[in-house]
Amino acid sequence: MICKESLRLIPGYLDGELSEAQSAPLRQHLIDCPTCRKAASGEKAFKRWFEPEAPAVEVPVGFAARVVRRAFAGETGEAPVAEQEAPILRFALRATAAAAVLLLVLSAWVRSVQLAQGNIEAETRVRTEVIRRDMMERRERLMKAAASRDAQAKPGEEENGSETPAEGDER
Amino acid sequence: MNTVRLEDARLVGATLTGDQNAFQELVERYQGRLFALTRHYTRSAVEIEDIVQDTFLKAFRRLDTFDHRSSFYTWIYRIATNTILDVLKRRGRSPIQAVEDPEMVGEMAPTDIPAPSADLDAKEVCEITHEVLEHLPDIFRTVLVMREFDEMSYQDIADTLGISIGTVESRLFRARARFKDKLLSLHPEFGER
Repeated sequence: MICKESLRLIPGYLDGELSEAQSAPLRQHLIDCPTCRKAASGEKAFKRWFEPEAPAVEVPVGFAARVVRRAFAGETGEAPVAEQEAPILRFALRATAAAAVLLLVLSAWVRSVQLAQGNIEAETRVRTEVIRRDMMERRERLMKAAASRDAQAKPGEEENGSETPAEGDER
Repeated sequence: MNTVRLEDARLVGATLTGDQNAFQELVERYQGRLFALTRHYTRSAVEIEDIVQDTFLKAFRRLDTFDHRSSFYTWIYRIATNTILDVLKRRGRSPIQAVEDPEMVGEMAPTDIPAPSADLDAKEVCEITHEVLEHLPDIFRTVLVMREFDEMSYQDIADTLGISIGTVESRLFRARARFKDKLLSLHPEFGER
């Protein structure tokens, strides 16, 4: 038997789960191999951590009679519905909390988008107003210039007469 | 069928006909072992009593399904284990299925731990062992309790948990390795002497 096989069998050997056909070669290997013997000894030491509890557990007085009374009264021993629903309720609460957080994040995002859009609109309004005023001023300047040209042109016109010949003149 | 099983069969039959005394006798026969079993999972006296009571109430309700193929104790032990695991689950512990991999058997190098020091009395050893068990996933804790405390055979463990003997072997192997590692991480003073 090789050590790998021996190490695999040792727990079952100590648990009394091996057949004699499996135990005999293992016993021989343990005699011959100090490493596996040490491993078996370690496994036995491990079991010492599981000694029966002392003192033994005491059953409360009248326990059996109480159980019998409840059993024949129709109690089932199943967890109350409220307790069974506890995980569902827990899940629902967690889902609600998650949804609330998601909603908060979404609304914050929507608000920031709206604000950004509002800023763009406001900026556009200001620019439009500036352009409008600029155009008004330009128009006013042009109108003033035209008016002053008209004012300058009127006296000359009286002196030279119309540049356009009257229909009647050609004839 | 041995005497105990015959007597259990008689008590079960009588209980099914409405005999309260027969059921009380059944409860009295197994209450001590179920209290001891449950104490491996919780130290609360109230919780232990509730779990054992619920176990017997469930057994009573399903008594007509007990087919006598296993012993009454094996049958009620299975109900108790499931009741305990349900309570642990409701408390927030959940079995970790992913840690189980039969292929891993033999590939781990388990830590060696010495036997408890002679300075420790049985109560102290018990407290340390349960403290370590408390830190193990339930699938490991369950097989260790069944094998090491209750000395159940691999076949009985397999029947109770509804798993194969190969899975029992691999689970035990890994459970022991995890127990040793956890013992040393919680109490390094118990390392190799």
